[in-house]
Order: sequence, then structure tokens, then C-alpha cells
Amino acid sequence: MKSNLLKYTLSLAFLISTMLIAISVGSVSVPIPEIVKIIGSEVFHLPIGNDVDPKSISIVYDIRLPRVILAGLVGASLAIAGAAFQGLLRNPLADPYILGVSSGASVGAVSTLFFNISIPFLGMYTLPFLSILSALATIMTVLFFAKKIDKTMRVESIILTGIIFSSFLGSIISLIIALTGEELQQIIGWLLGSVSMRGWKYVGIILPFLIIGGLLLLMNTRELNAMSFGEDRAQHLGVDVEKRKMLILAAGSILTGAAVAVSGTIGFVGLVIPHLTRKLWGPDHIHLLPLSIITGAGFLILTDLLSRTIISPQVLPVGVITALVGAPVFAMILLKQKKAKGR
Amino acid sequence: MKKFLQVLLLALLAGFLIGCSNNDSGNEAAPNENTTNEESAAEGTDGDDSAYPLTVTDAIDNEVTLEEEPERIVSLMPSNTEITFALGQGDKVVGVSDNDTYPEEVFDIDKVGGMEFNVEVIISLDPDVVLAHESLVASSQEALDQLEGADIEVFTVADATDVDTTYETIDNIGQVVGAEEEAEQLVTDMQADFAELEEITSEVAEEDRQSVFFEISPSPDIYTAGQNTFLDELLQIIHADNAAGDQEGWVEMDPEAIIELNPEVIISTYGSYVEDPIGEVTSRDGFDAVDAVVNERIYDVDSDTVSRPGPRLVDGAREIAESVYPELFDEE
Repeated sequence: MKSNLLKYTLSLAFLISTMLIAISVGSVSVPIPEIVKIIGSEVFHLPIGNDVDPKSISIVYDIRLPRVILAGLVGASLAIAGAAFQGLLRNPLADPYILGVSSGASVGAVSTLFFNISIPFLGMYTLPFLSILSALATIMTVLFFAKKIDKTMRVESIILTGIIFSSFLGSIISLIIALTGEELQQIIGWLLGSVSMRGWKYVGIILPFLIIGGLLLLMNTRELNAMSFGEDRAQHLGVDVEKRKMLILAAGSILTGAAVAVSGTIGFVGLVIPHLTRKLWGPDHIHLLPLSIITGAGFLILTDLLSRTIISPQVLPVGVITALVGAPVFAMILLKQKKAKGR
Repeated sequence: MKKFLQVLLLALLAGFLIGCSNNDSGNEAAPNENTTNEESAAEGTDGDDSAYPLTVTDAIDNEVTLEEEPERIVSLMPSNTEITFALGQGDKVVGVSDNDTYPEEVFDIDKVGGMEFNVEVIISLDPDVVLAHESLVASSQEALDQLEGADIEVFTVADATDVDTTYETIDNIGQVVGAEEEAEQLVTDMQADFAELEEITSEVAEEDRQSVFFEISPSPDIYTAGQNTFLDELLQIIHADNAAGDQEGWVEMDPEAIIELNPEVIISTYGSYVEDPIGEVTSRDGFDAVDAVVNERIYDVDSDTVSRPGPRLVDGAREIAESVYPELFDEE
């Protein structure tokens, strides 16, 4: 058992170093002192002096910083939701998308693009707004349906319901893609996931959901621990299984819906980061969830950095990089684990 | 399921990108072939009123034999349709693709499908010739084979990515639809129009040359046009610089890099499906440091006129020129 201090120190060190690198590196290199000056002047209204190029200010403060922070928030949301789902469903293949929430959010977003919907007053925020709405509608329908077919809401029923909804909503997305014309590129771009050009407003959109969803999950870490021994055991241990289950599913889904709404479907983070964290630091949910938040944030910031620098000034979809980087790392850790056990 | 969809989309996208780059390289060979068969066909026409039966080799080396001048033509590509209409043969077109939007007459013509065309509909239209397109070969080989199996002559038009190749495709189509003189005239007119634009814009002093950034798709995934695209070539003709001239083909650009390129003019081509393309650019965070935004030099041009290898490229070039150098055209 490694000491808790070490776990958190190392994880935070990873997050902070990826953030620093991601803010300073990009298509345009801005020296670190200049970045400090820019942030100082924009956030604390310090005098900036005349030697900083206004273009650098725009790039660092309006584009790169919100992008890095948004990547971190999305990564954190997906990772903690994934960790909670894996624990709750006792299924190593569970990811935040398992309940069909991402498909629901995608249908909302893709329809917005397809029908060119623009709600007055919301303008460009129509898409995340409708996306979150349809994500919430999906969660409620899925949970209602799961409850309908199986009063006790066994894990299998939940997973099955999720798969049914995912497939159905997925086919609606495919239908829209088949019917689309000029918006095809926008739709595909959105489905591949990206944190590019979202700006500070999108940071503001996801933050409240992360706080609410994250706190709800963090308050249920003991219950998650109990439920990982099976629901009957948990019941005996005094956990109100049904209520907690609903709470955890809803919280995880809100996190997922908000993440998908602001960034599209970025795969792999929610599946692999919890596994990675568990392998590195142990399965105790009390630490697993917060550590997943930190690692997930750092991981997505890092992969987003790669996606925009590998073939700079061109960019790659971040979802591609998450899988390209995540899968081999994950495989390596699994192998190491196996060896350690074999000895 | 989700992941499957993602992989599928990615494959589609990759295929699309590869398709584009393939077309670039494929082109190098295509024009030569077309020139040779143009010559051989010209021999057949000279001094003889009836050029038919006519055998021509198309862009994918298929020999196409037409017993007589086609009276019923199906076009599978908007550019083919536009060329056929510009050659005065529009009344013979009995089927067009779903993507056809020009000229207005196409809205009254039967549609035969978009990315995947409907073979049964095409056969039912009983065409004398189908004008296919090199870019369709990869995705629709089976459908094209079925058409040929139904004894329909399929002429595959080369996928032009530059103006000179476009002239050749106009010649080729003219030959197939029995309008060679018209084709020659059309090419001459286009050449004259381009020469005029080049002449007008040649007055631009070296230090006044504008750097232009094209946006093919809106934020957040901003695609632009690099070298070996019509947009790049049109800019060269009108004496302007492509801000993304270092890139090759169609690429997604990092927004940071666009700000750093600091183009003097931004031209979008997505006005047909984005409500307020200029507002789309000006409202972006961070773009207020870009010269084009500061000086309000953002324009939208009709993407069809600058992407379809047909007679309207001249209109596209003129629209771009008038946006980039309005002062040169006000005087007229």
C-alpha cells in the first residue's frame, strides 16, 4: 500500500506539468515569462507593458488557456464517471457512454447541426444546450425503462437497457449522417470530439455540472466500495442500494452528458483512466475517484496537446489521439500486472 | 456501438482525405491521356459532319463507343452538368445528381442520387451516355459496372483540380455530347476572362498584395485550402497570397496558427449553410487580433463556384478578386 500523500503528489505533479507544457507549447511558441505576464494582466489586471504582442495575448488567453482548461474538465468528468460506473456495475468494460447518454447527447448536437437550429438568446450555445437537454432526457428514459423491466434494477438490466438505447440512438445519428449534405464535415468533426475553439463560455457550461456530479459521486465512495462486494452484501452493510444506485447513475450521466455536450464524444478516457488509476494506486473508491479526476484531466490535456502539435499547424481529432496513446499504455500496464502476479 | 460508429466515421473521413490526395496525384496522368484521345477523336471529326460512331477513351482508360450523338444524358456530378449546360446541351440532360444546384433548370430534372446513385433510376431514364466522374470510381465502382452491364455507355470525366485540367474536361465532354465547337469557344471565353482578371489585378503593387485565408468549414473545425486546390490557383491568378500556402490540399488548421498567420482577408465558403458566416468569424474569441477582423475584411463566396471544376470558376475568381481588391473594380 503506497502512502496516500505519494499518490496525490504524483498525480497532481502529472496534472500540473501537463498543464504548464500545454499552455506554453502550440503552433505559436510564446515564451513562459510572456505567458505569466499575459495571465497576470488578464486575470489580475496587472500592467502588462508594451513589449507583448497583442496576437500573443489573444492566442494564450482567448484560445489556448480555455482550451487546456476545458480539456482538463472534460477529462476529469469522463474519468470520474467511468470510475463510478465501473465500480457500480462491477463491469470492467463499463465506460461513461454505457448508458447511451453520449448517444443521446450526440443526437441533440447532430440534430442541431443538421436542422441548423438556432434558439434566440442562446445563439452558438444552442448546441451544448440542446445536447445537455437530450442527454438528460436519455438518462431519465433509460433509468425509467430499466426500472420498468426490472424493479430491483439489477446490473444486467441496466447494461442491457443502456445497450438498447445506445444502438437505437446511434442509428438515428447514422440516419442523419446518411441524409446530410454540406453539414457532413461539421457533424463528423463534432462526433470525433474536440475541445478546439470553445472558449471560456464552454468552460462555464461544464464547470457547474462537474462540481455537482463530482460532489455527488465523491459523497458515495464508501457506498461504491460496499457495492463492489455485491449488492446483497452492500444491503447487509446498511447501504440503501436502490437509492444510491439511482444517485450514482444520475450523477455519472450528468457528468457524461455535459462532457459530450461541450466536446463531442471523446472515447477511451472514461474507460481507461479508471483502470489505469486502479492499477497504479489501488481499487479503494475513496481515493480512486479523486485520483481519476486528476489523472483524467492531465491525460486529456496531454492528448489534446499532442493532437494540435504533432502535425502543426494542422490538427488531428483528439479522440483519435486518446485511443492511440491510451490503448498501448493500458496494454503495457496490463502486461506488467500479469507479470507481477505470475512471479 | 459508439466506438464502432467512431471508427466508421474516422474511416470515412480518412477515405475522404485519402481520396482527395489520390485525386491530386491521379491527375498528373489523366490530362495526358485526355489530350491524346482528344487528338485521335479530332481526326475522326475533321471534314466529316457525322463524328459518330465515335470511340473515345475516358479518364480511367475505358473505351467508350457512341453510335450516334447522344440525345439523353445523365450526369453524375454537378460540374459535368454545369459544363453540359454551358455547352448548350442542357435540354438533353435527363438525370442529375442530388447535389446539383446549377443552373436552375436542374431542379426540374430527375435526380439519380448523391454519393450513392441509384442504378435502377439511371437505367429507367434510358440514357445514351452517362457522364460519370473520376472521383466516383473509388466509391461507386460496383454501380458503374452495373450500368455498363446494362449496356449503358459510361464516360468517366477526369477529376480536375486545376484550371487547365478543367479546360480538358470541357473539351472531353464537348466531344462526347457533340458540342466540340461550343467547348472550344467556352474554353476560349474562360481563358479570356481569366486573362482579364489577371490583367486588372496585375496593377497591385508588390507591397499591396493581400494575404487571404480561406475557410472551408466554420469553427470549431476550421478547414482551409492549401496548395493544389482551385482556391489557391484562383488566388495566384488574381495576384493575392494564400495565407495557408505552406499547406497541401485541404487541411484542418489550428486556430492559434490562423491568428499567427494574421491574414489581411478571410474568405469563407460556407455561407450556404451557416446563417451568418461573417459573424461566425468575428465572434470568435481571440480573433479580434487578426487584421482581417480588425479591418472588417471578411467575405463569403459561393463554394460551388470555387470548387466545381466547371465554367463558373471564372465567376468564383471574379468574386474573390472583387472582395480582395475592391478598389480595382470600383473604377470600372
